[in-house]
Amino acid sequence: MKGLPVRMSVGEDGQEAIEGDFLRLAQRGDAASITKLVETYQQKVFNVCYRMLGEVTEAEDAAQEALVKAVTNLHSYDVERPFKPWILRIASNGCIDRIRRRKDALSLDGMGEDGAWEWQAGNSPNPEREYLRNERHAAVRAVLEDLSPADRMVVTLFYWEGMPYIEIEEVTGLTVSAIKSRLFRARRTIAELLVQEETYA
Amino acid sequence: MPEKLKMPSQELHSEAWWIRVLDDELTPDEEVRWGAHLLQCESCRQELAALTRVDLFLSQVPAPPALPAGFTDATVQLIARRQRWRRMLSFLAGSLVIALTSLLVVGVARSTLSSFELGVGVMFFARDTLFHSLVQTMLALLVRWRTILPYMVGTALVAYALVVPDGLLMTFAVVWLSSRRRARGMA
Repeated sequence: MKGLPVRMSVGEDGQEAIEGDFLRLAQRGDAASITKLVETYQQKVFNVCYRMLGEVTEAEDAAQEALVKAVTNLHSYDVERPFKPWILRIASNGCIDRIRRRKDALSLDGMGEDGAWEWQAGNSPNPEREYLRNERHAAVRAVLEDLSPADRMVVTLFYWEGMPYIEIEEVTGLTVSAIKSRLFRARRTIAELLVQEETYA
Repeated sequence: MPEKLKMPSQELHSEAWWIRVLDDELTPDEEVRWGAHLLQCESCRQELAALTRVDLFLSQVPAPPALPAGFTDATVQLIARRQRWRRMLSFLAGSLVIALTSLLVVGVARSTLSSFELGVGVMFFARDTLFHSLVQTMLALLVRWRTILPYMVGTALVAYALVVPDGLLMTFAVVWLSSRRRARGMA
C-alpha cells in the first residue's frame, strides 16, 4: 500500500522557458525583449508573492519590484543558467524581507486586509460561489501564515509551482535534505491546523 | 528473525522514513514491509490519512488572481526609468572623473614648470591619490554594476601616464629643463 502521490501541482505551466539568446538581447537593453521577458514571468512571480504575502496589492508591488530588480541586474546574470529559479530567488528574498518588515511594524490584524476581498467582491455574478472561494483563500492564507517564511516558500514552490527539489534548492539556498525536512514538518503543521479548524468551525 | 540494525531512514516511525514514503521512494521490499505495518499500526494509518488530507487541501487551493491588464506596461516603464537613472549616474560619475583629472593634470603641469621640486612632489602625491581613488571607484562600480565605462578606464590611464613621476609630464619637464640649461650654458 502506498501513500497518495504527493505532488498535485496546480496550474501546470505549459509555457516555454525563455531561451539564452533572447535573454542576451534583453541584457543589452532591447525593449521588445524586456517586455516579452516581463510578460512571460510576471504571473509566475506574482503567484509566488501572493502565496507568500497573502494580499493582492502587496503581492503586485512585490512582484513588480522583483521583475524590475531582475531586469536591471541582468548584466550580472549568467545567461546559460535557467532563468526561472533566478528570478524566483529575487522574488523570494524580497517577500521574506517584506514579511520581516511587517513583523517589525507589528500590526495586530495578522490576517491580512480586506483589500483582497474587495478585489473580488462586486465583480462576480455568483456571489455564493465567490464567497466560498474567498473562504478557501482565507483558509489557505490562515494556514500559510502559521508557517515560517522559509517553510511557506518551500510549500509554495513545491505544491503550486511544481518545482523539483533541485530547483527549490536554487531558489531558497537550502539543501535538498533541508527542503524535504521542512516540507514534511510543514505538512505536519498544516495537518494539525486543519484538525483545529474543523474542531472550531 | 533477529532484528537487523536499521539505518535511520529505515526506521518505520522516523522522519526520514516518512519522507521516503511520501516521495514514493520505497524499494519493493520496503513497500511490502510498510503495507504490513500499516495494517497493524493505528497511529501510522492516521498520520498517513492526515498527510493525504493536507495534500488534497493544498491541491484544491484556488489559483491566484490574474494580474491587471496594465501591469506589464507599468513594470516596463519602471525598468526604463531605473535604467535611465543608472545611465545618468554613470555619466555623471564619468564626467566628474574627467573633470577632476583635468584639473589635476593642469595643476601638476603648472607647478612643475614653476618649480621642479614642487612639481615632483605634487606628481608623487598625485600618483598615489589618483591611483588609490580611481582604483577604489572602479572596483566599487565593477562590483555594483559589473560594467567598466571605457572612457573612465581611458581617462584613468591617461592621467596616470601623464602625471606619475616617470610619466609624460615628468619626461617633458626634464627634457625642457635640460634644453634650457644647455641654452643658458651656451649663452
